[in-house]
Amino acid sequence: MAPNKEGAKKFLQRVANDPAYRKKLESDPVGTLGELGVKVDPKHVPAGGVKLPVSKEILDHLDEWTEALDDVFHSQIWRGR
Amino acid sequence: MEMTIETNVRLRRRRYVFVRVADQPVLDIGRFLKGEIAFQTETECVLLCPVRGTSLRLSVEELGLMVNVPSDRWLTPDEVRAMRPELLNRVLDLAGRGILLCDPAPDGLDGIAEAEEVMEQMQWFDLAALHHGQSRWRGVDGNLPVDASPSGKSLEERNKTRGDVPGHFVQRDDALARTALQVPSLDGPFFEILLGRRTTRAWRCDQCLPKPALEKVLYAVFGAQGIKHLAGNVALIKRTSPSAGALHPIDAYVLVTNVEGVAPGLYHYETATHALALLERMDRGEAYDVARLFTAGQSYFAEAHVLLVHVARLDRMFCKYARHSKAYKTVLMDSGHLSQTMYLTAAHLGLGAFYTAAINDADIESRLRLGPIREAAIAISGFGIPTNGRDELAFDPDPYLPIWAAEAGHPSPRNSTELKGNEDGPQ
Repeated sequence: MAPNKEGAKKFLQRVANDPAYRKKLESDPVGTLGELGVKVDPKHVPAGGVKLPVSKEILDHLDEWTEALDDVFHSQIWRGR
Repeated sequence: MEMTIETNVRLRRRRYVFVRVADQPVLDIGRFLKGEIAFQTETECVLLCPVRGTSLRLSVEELGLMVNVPSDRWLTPDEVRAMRPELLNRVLDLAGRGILLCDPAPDGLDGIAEAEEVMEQMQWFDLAALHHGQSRWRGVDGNLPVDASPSGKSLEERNKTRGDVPGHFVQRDDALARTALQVPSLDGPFFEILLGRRTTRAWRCDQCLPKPALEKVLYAVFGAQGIKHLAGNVALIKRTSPSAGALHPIDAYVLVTNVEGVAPGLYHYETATHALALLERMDRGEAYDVARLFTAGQSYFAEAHVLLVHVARLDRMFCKYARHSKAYKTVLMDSGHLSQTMYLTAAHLGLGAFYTAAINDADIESRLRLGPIREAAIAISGFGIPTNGRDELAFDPDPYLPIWAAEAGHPSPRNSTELKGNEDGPQ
């Protein structure tokens, strides 16, 4: 299973902000993603090596996801009169 | 949560199993490893736990595996060990994630089997149990922007994704006829109070609420005004608000922050004796922090002088209305009735009041040491001394008269054009 929205958000944040984690993911994608419960078939790992999206691009997508999550949250309270 | 489980265990399926199947956008890991960010749709199964309110993801294959484990009896350790190694590993993995129940339970997953037994014994209507469990909040902090209404950009954004907000008045196109009704004048003390009811969000924090005001509100709203003994120890109560079956399952837990002669703290209001039983003493600052936690960060409510947590004893209600599809609804309605009575009592006393369901019920239940499954925090009422005129968040509507009355010569402050088919009067 792929990570759900919250899990993916945390994962992307870490990839964008944590160089050591990024390096670990590049060198061992199957093991690193396995720690998150994400099973990756080794044949889907690019033969020429892993190339992760640049951090800025990741963070741009994070904003979109955050907005979607916030929308759900903020709509929960409509004030009574 | 995943963990290794010994094979010397008993296993069974949960008795309350609800599974949501949905297509969810997920990160495409294969393309991500090639430098792209893309999403794909994945069919996701989620087991919704009514006991803890958790959502446990599982694959379609795991769903099939789960339903083949019995729920009416435990698989013995011998039966567990007799499984093929591959199947055993997958079953134990499900147990480690809380999807199957395991005895002894792994760390952090204890108490679920026992809670299911309590639910069965209490005769919860299962769908109500699911809604109850899944709608509880823990640690929610709204941290909402302090604006007076959800206006402007936020409403525009909302309309883009969900369509326009349905209109404020309804007129049926298929009405066979319309009969104009006289608009009566709402005069007299009762209607004055009814019209004076409002929600308050600004409080005189520099003034203590007099103790008699607390005593009067509690007695008027939550006090027993009558009792009828039935067989055995069963008795029905009369309060100033109605209750399904006269059971009155809702008690008031009182969070005092600023009352003259009553120490800040958490109390249980004992209806039988009209007394406050102190459960936790705290200073005023702590009481405010607790109020803010309880009201999910709604600081304008946390500053009220007194908060009343409506706590339902669901076992009392379900005793009569066992597995009843309406029973849970009536509990919520009881809380609403009590709220309105409190609003009117506060208006009568010249106090401000509020009522909110946006509460951290799971935190409240832990703090009050309530019996899990059997008792539940439903909502919070509050009251205190209002600022009277300095409430920036106050809802301050224009007066309104039905449009026919306005056309008949009553003064109407605004010319509504939103009702249709009424220019010629009643049809």
